[in-house]
Amino acid sequence: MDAKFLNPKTLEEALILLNNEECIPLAGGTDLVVKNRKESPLHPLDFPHPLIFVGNIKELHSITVSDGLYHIGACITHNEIIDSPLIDEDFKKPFKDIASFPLRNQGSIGGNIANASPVGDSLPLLYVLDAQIVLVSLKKKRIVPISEFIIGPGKTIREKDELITEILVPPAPYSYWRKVSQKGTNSIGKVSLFATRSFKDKKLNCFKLAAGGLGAKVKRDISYENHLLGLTVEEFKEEKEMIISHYLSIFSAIDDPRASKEYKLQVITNLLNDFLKEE
Amino acid sequence: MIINFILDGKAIKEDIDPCLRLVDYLKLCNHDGARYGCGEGECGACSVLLNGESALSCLVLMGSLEGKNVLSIEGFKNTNQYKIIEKCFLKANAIQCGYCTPGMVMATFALLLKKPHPTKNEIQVGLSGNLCRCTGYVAIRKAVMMAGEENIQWTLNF
Repeated sequence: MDAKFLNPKTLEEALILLNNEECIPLAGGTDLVVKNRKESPLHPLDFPHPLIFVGNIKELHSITVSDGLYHIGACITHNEIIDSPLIDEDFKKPFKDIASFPLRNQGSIGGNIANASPVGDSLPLLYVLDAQIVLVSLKKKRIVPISEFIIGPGKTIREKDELITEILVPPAPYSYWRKVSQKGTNSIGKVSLFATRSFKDKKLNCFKLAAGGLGAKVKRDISYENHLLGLTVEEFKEEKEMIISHYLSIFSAIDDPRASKEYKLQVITNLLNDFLKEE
Repeated sequence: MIINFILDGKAIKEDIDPCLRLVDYLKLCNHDGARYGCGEGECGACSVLLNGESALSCLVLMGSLEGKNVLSIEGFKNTNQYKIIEKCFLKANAIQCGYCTPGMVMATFALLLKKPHPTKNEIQVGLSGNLCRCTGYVAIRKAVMMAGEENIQWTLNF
């Protein structure tokens, strides 16, 4: 096997290789190959470490449901999520907004998470649903919430000998999703919002909201969400402006090549309004 | 690294740098149909079929092709199915400069394999990865519509 490209067929084989030396996991390549491309075509790409191609590892290619959670293999592509009869329609919304059809054939959910982009399209959904990332190495297995897994742009707590094997995440019924970008799904998002709320006995019993693209990480305020629980339908309507101004006070935005911070804050205000007005 | 894969129906066993991209490999073996457009998965000019699904060859490293099946437009162009798509593109005037055309044809074939009679929306999604710099989208969509009206069993076995 070529030293710079490892092609394990089983998870065990992959973990042994990762235990031996530092490698870069390669799944669909939709980010990694682009990042490392050269000015001139026709030449092989160079990577700082050997690549370990995880696309042939069967264990990473399944979607199952148990104990009310989806178990989504790290190599499941965006289109496989969209086409899966096991997964609910609202969960699929952000995945339908990822890039273009052929790219969704190639890119994977594990890659979208490991890439830890501030504008990763699946991330607000995964934050709202408190997705758990399963990390496995030869020595141990640990399950980490996504909010702890991602620590900054392109940075995660994955250790060198670990591989993301699956994502544990509940369904997302009655959810709101909007991605605002230059040209529909094809462009990288500027700002996005994934949110869900529900009333039981006319009282707010679920309220979760995460915004992507504003800053370095997806933003969510769990203690404020809990503070809102119990509001009646009428109270909730009256609180609308307060809710928006709370989020604007905690959502700081940064300028990036796609949008200014003023633009982002205006868009997120519009999205919050849109979400809160929905019946 | 020795890589075994199928290109246009032929078994290939070749010592190839695993970090070479498929689009570069195709160029180096004179398969000029897949164009190197943006090199970052945005334009679709390098579209091929990978295990029967539309894929962007500028994002695929040769090392990941072990055991896979690649169809380029060079392998597709001698088939009856290609002739039908070609006829529809010509009839609908769906070609201007031609740069995007091989990619559009491959994306069209990948779409028809899954949806033999695609709706307007399904065409929009199926071809969403392919940019036409002449902005000839209306004519291209018409061509795919026409191909979708053909009474034919679209298949990868030819």
